[in-house]
Amino acid sequence: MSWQIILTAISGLLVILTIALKPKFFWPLLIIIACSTAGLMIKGYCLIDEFLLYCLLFGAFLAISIGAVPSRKTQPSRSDKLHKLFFFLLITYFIIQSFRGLIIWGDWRITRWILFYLALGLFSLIISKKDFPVPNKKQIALLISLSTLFYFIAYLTHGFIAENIRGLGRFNLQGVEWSGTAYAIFPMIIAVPSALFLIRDKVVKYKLIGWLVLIILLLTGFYYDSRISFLTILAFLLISPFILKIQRSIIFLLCFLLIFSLFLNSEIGKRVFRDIGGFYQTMYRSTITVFLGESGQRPSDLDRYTAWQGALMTVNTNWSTLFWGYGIHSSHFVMQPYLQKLYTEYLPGVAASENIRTTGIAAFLVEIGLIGMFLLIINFILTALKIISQTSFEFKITAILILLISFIWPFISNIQDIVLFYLLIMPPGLLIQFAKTQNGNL
Amino acid sequence: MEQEYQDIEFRKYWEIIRKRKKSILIIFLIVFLAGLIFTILTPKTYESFVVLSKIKKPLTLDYIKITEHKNAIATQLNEQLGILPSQFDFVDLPSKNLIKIEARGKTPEEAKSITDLVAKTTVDYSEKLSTDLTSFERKRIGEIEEKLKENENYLKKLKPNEISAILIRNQQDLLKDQLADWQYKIDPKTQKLEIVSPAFMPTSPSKPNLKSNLIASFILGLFLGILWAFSMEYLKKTKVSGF
Repeated sequence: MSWQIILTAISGLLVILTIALKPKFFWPLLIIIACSTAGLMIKGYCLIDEFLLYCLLFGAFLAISIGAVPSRKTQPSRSDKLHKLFFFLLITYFIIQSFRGLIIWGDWRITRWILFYLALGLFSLIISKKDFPVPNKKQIALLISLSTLFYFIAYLTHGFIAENIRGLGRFNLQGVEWSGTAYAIFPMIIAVPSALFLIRDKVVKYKLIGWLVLIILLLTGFYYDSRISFLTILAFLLISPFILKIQRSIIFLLCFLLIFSLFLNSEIGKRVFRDIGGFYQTMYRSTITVFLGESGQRPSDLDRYTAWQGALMTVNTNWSTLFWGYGIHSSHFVMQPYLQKLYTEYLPGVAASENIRTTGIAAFLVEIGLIGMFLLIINFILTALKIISQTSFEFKITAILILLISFIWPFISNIQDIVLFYLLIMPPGLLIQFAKTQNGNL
Repeated sequence: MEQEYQDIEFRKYWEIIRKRKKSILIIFLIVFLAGLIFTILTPKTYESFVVLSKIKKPLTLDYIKITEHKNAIATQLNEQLGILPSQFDFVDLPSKNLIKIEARGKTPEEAKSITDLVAKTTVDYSEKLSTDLTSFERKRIGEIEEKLKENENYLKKLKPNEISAILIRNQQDLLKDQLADWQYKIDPKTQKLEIVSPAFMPTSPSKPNLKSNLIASFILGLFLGILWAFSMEYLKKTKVSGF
């Protein structure tokens, strides 16, 4: 048994014991797990955040079973009930699609998805029925910042060690020890705004933590040449004047430029200049392709571009597949012939793998069809509406931006199994709690 | 955070475990014994492996990832040699630029023989794949070389200072550049595999693994027993107060 498995098992046991004995740590631990374990891999699988979520649920169940967690006293509003209904519909639909995938493909590994979606449903049920104490905004921001700080320092160190000590490239171990960059840096989506909120705090040590998180995030983005991280950081840079004073926003911009200049002469810096236009062009063209059906474009990021087209071609086979998809996990197999056709056109000489690993949005479309996509989008909209009705302007704009970027993220990477992704849109998930909870001097 | 939230003493859990120790023990024993019987009844399997090295690694990421072509290799092995896909696995070891092929058989001899056959088929398949992937480039190279030869022959018929000869020489330079470009494009798509560690004869069965199966049964039995006990406790409480 490898040391990673033993370490994960010990962490799981500690999570169960902590929650069972001190249920008040439910939310803090959930935030730590969601923010700091998403990209870690064991034997090529990103299972750690899932496993720790199960442990958290088990610990919570133990505490609930002895009556140590009070029920919620406040009655849910109509919008809460509607959101809950649609989230449970989404989860039920995912579970049915997972069973469908299991029956069609006969791959026992698909049971993982049944467990995963069941746990998410249970999790949403527990947090909507039971009154686990939610930290205030400042505590949430601090927890997110510290967890992501630890996570991204570890991620940077891993790449640095791979490159300088193990004699490998920083990208060589992606998919083995750490997931691909676009997947691994997903926690950045909440790390940047949390850091911004800490920066505006009156206490110097919190300000310093905020700046440190931002610097580490910028370094990670440039070190791993992640264009989606630039997009995330730039998006929050744009709204930073609403959160910070204008002088601090300028310092944020200067940090961005300073760190960029550090990488300017490296291969990464050159590539950023060369590719960044192509990347945004790809996103634009992919959208055009999907909504207007234009084809024949030759953007630089052809893999993501063909994933879109391939997914559309795959589901367009008949009405049933268009609406219902092919079942969870099926994107790995059913897209192959369509992608091969596209590769022949766009990338002559490249063979489509037998086991397709595509973008999240393509996988969603192929596996759950338009009905599933509709349910997913509805949950995004209901979360946004809930946030809009709840909080002050700067939190509102931040939370909406987080939702928007998390909606865009599956266009770049497959984040189907990241707990944090669902935590953002579930009722009453992290964003809703963040909007609802007290400011705590933030 | 709310101040009213109390920590729970471990004693409370222990009391429930003690109260329901019989049901916990029964569930634990059922699961543990089921695990034990399953282990005893599982036929013995022997495993051997081969390590392949990528002598020439494709420069462009994911042009050839042989481990993702398992189905095609499995079909070939099944049709030609009757080896089932479940009898072997590919493990990519990117940190060492190696690929490990693990194969299983009912006897040590069978395990070794299957490993050898899978390794050989994989090496052959990889070579064929490299050739197929570069067929487009090779076709272009052939066309350019033909054009170059045609031009050379035509040049021989012309006087060196004639305007047509100068134009053709310019075209020849362009074609030579193109030829170099296409030859350069072949390189990243070419991969060669070599066996660095041959298959060995296993001395003990790899499956069933008595130790790990018993550990798994022990943990699962304990978990299900505790889950049962606390579920009963929860149901008893909810009968009184609701969720």
